[in-house]
Amino acid sequence: MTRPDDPNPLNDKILDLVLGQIPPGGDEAARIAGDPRARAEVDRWARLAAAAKAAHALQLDPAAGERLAARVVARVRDEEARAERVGAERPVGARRMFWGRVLAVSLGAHAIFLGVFALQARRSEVAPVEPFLLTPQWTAAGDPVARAEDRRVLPLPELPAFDGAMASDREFVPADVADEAPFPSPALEPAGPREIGLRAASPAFRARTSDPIKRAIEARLSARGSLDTIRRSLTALAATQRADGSFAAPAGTDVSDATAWTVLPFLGDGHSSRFGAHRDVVAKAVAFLRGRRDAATGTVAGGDAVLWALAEDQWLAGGFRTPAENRAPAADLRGLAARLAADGADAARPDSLRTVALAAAARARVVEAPPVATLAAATVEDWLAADVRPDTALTRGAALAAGASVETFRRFSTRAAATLRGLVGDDGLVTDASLDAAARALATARAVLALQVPFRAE
Amino acid sequence: MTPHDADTELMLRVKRGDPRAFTELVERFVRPLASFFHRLGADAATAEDCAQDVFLKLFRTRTAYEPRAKFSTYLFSIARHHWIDVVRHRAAGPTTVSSDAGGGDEAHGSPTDRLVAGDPAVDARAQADEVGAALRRAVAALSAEQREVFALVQQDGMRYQEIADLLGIPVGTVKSRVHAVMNALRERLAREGFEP
Repeated sequence: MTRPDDPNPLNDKILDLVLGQIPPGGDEAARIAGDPRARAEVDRWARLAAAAKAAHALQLDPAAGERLAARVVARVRDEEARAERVGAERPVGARRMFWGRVLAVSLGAHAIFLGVFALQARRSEVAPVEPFLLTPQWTAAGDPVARAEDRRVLPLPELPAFDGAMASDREFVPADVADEAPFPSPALEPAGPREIGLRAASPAFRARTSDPIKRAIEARLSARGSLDTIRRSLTALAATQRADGSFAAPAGTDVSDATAWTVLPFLGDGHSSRFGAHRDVVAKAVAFLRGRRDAATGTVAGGDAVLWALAEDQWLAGGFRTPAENRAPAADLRGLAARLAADGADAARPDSLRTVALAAAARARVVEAPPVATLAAATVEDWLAADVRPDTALTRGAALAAGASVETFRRFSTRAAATLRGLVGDDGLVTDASLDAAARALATARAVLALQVPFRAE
Repeated sequence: MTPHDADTELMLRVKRGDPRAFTELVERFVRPLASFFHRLGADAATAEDCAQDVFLKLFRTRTAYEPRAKFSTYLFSIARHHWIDVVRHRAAGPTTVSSDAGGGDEAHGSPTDRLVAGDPAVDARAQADEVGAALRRAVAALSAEQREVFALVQQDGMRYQEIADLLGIPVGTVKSRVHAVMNALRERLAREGFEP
């Protein structure tokens, strides 16, 4: 490589040519083309310029521009319509009248304030107020100025020595109130007092809702096509939702569990009951799930999948709700987690659905985070060698994401992604012809969930 | 006045109320704008947010648009001022760590970070990734002024004169900054063992 301080007199011109500042057909370009050493230098600079350009090129999906334009236009039109409505409601005359009144009130308030201030100042000239007088002036029997012997300065009260122990705010909050305290906004918990909105969101939240990050993961896993398959399936699944928000359950499956399984892929793609293109699907399904109650305990009906789905929605959408709105969903989640914990299922197994559901509930700050199990090398090897099935790929993938090396996770995911994509047809649903419509939708949801493991950022 | 370029014509159509023209403008400039913010130091998600904010400002003020300069100069001028606001806001608040920069959530071991920051040796694009990463480090080490000039000169068709107009500095200064930046990048890559 030529050193930057190379004494080549053409160096500046060469760089300008590479950066498109000199027309390629001009005299300067011809001069450079005639010098073999300069031509070699052009090649080197061109390679550097191309690499520099590629280093910061962002991958946006092809429809990003159209989507962004639609969002911007809709938002500005809303703003303009609102401004127009306000303008129409208040004609110009009324507006002038309004501001005239504001001005009059303001002037009046200032006049009163200045008058009171001037009066105080005059009175203080007669009897200056001195703090810490032993004898207050109102006890001086009509004499505004206290006698000299009474004008002693009050001593400061004695304070106990500081023993180093500080009381925390928590000690002042009664236990029952603390339990009922507004639910935190886990996904949008501010990084600091000045950070608000999406820019303060946790990295995991941003990854879940950011297309460029997901595309980067897709490329890194050599799993091109996975995101497109997922989105196709979401469209197909959304079309199967019933009016009450539920999804059809195959024989032997509870409708709450079927609904939870089917809504989970939407949450996994970053849609929640408060935002996302499939917001309505998620909102209706979550309402349905929360509306069904276990007859014995009164808690939300259903099993691990329901806990997982509700926890995911709370994690994603909690920050978009007021504390009051968050209270009931949080209480539902706590009740369901407590009921499920009581049945003693295998929460300790790293590849169990219970572990995945509890991890989600922990992210939503409903339960303590379950410990991350250390995976035995033999177990990992078994998993890597086994056939890929949607149910095992989902739980094992989640366990590997949490507890294995990146390389192991990549090996597992790359292989699993290829197999899982093959299960889904062009219509977005699994191609198994032996299944009825409900079973097909449920199988699709499980396959998509397994395909989403690397993108879920859990 | 010189005849309007195609982008200016599109913007004039936007001003007249044609939403399709705006979509076309966004499609044409969303990637250059996002890359511009990325070069200035924004992570991928922030770069996309910033691009959206710029288009919002552009659309809000569409009726006041007058074609006094090339449209791209006008758009990048909005973008530059927006970035100044973003940096000012960041300086006033605590530092946040971007998720796609490979840091931030290490303690949780999220697959995003672990994948994005993963060992690229097995990837077919390992070499390009490493050169790209070295370049991103080199650009991050530039001063704010140098980064700004670098981000603008990387836009296709942006001439030194336009950059000078946009930044309010002489053309000679633009040129010397560009040359200093490119030489610094090349020198840094060489120090890290890459041969561009």
